[in-house]
Amino acid sequence: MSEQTVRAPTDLLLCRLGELWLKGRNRAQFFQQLVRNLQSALSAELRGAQVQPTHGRIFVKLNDPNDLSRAIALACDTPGLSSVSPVRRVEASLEVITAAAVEMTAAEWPDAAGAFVGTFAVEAKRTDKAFPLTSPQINRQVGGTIQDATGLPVDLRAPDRKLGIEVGADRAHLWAHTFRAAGGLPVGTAGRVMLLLSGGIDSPVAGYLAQKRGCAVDAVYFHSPPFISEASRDKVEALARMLAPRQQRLRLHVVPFTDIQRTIKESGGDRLTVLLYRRFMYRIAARLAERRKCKALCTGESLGQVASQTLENLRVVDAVTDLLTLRPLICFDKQETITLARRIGSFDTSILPHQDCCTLFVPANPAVKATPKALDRAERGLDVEGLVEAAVQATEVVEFDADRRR
Amino acid sequence: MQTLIYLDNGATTPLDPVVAAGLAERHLTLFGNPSSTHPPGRAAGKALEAARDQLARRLGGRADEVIFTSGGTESLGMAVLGSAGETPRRVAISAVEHPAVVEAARVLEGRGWGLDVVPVDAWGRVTRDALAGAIGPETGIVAVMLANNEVGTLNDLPGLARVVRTRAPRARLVVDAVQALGKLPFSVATLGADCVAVTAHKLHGPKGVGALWTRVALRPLLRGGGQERGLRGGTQSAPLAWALAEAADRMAMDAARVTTLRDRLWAALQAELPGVRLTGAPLDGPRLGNNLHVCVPGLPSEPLLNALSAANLCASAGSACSGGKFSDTLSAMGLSRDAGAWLRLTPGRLNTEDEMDEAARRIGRATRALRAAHV
Repeated sequence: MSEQTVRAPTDLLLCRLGELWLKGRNRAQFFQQLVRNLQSALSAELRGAQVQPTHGRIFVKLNDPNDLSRAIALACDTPGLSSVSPVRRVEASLEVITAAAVEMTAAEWPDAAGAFVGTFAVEAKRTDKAFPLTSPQINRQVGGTIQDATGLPVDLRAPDRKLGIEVGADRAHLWAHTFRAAGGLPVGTAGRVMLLLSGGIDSPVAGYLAQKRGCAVDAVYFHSPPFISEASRDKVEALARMLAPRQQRLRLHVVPFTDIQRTIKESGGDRLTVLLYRRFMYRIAARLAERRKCKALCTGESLGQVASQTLENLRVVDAVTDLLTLRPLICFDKQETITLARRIGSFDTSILPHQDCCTLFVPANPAVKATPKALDRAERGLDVEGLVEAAVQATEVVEFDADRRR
Repeated sequence: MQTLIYLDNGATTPLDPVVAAGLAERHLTLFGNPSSTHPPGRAAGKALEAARDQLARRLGGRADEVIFTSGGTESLGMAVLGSAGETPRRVAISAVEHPAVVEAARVLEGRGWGLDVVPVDAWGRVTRDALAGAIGPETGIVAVMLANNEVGTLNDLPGLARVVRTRAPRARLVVDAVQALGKLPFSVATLGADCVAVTAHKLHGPKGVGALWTRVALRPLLRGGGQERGLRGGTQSAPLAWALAEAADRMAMDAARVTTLRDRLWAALQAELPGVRLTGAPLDGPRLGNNLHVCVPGLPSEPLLNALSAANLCASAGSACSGGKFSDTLSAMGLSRDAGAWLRLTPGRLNTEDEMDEAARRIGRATRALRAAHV
């Protein structure tokens, strides 16, 4: 393994698994999916990046160390990983490990002025019990040398910096940085859901959270030209494109909704208008979900945020489909959603000034507590099945693949 | 798809093909850095100064008073922020100024300046009385636009300048002439302004070049290599400077024809849509020749604009810079969103008479279709 000791330390990433550890018999399947997803996310941007699964962890070998920061970002955004460290791989001998440790700390730890400030700790783990030193012994040995070289004091309880060392059978890995990753489960392991995607702040975040818990996402958008501009549709497509890199491919179903809105408006539903819209949206989404073998719907609804999202009104909308509906944001405050939207990068697109709901047809005094009976009555004069089927038939599908450059 | 009719020249204009060809050639031949002393540098420097001369003549000022910039927003920012000294005073702006001025004034507000907003009348004009009431000896900067970007209303600038000199003798008068250049004959010699901002892309020139005429000393925002009399660092583009000056001259030659197009559009629209109302000043009053702004009662703006987009007719509800909310300009004129669909139609040099008739027909068709849908 001597040639590996001369490798540049920054072309290798160690990716640690999240909850996958908890999985029982499905573990291999989950692990394979995670490897596929990570490889797909990396390949979409970085030439020659190789995902190398080993026992219970994943290494990423980069073709070019300049890709490192982008690779870290992509790995941190891949559900199923808990953390990521750029590592240096060396021969599993105490002398080589100690030398590499001193070299790494000399490169990574000085402050802007070149001085060593603060405290440190070494956290070694011996996975190969044949290694002559125990983990605490490695800590003391390497830590002592670093202390001599840098003058930094050791603090085992709350160190300012940590050097991680993992010693295996024939090689060891060292790292000075650990980045927190998304957590969650590999996208695709939970099955597929149909996300109701508007141009707003909430629904892309809901889609992200569903992805984080292992769902692949199809998105459905209800478009009402000329009441809604084509610029609004562009915005929804931009949001769908943002969700795509976490899965190999994302399909956006664009449903023409003008006729339905017009029919509802003309039927005089008045205070129930918005709930009638939403019942149709759910019915159409459920129909598309069935066609695409989605196991649930997913929405960005949050309890009490607007009139249509009270418990009563969620219930009357829910009643039109047997399909399970995931509402990841149901107990989020708006600010919590905004914080997450900023983190996943959808916020700036979501707040572009285009309409995402037809304010035109919305009554000034919407019903806050509707009953299923009232909704059924309001729909009595409508050809519900005909309208839903016509909209489903006229739905247009736009596909986005993981490659961000397209 | 129907043929495209572009009537949003108030937002930006298609590039004049002659200017485009001239630019393409000059980008190849005048690549030199105007500050270099070798032949390509001197050629670019000469072309830059020729463009400065040409633009100064168009503005009625001196070449050494013209500073090339990236466009209207930079010119206005340079004038407003560059006029502010260390000691906070008061800045007065009209209620219908472009965001370039409003935001620059807000920056000053953040530095301790007082902000006074001068109300406008029902046509969107700043009256002398309103201005006199809003400024005083404490006022350091006054900004009033020459022609409004949304409704095209013209301000009586020489008259307002006299009010500034009397009421606030130490104040700088900054004038946004971005919409006016080439469409309205004016001269900085008679405007009474201290700074006048213009841009190329509103008159069939390219995006990315504008100018500030100024007869007063300003503090530079960007120093860099000391170009543009030390007021605007950065290597100048001789081709873009030429394009600005040339496009302005060509616009001026064609302005009367554009006004004829606008008048024809208004006549056709009235025939097509009885009840359509003109916003702001009458067409033969204090109004920019390329601006038509109307209200179609009985339906909101967005669906009509979207339907017009679908019919391949480009118009806008107001300014492209207002970002979807109801226009501050129309609010300041005492108008409300609910009055109907607000439509700004701004023809340009590349439009034809047939397009005016066809545009009126498309607007009529879209309106009738929306009304039939009980919107």
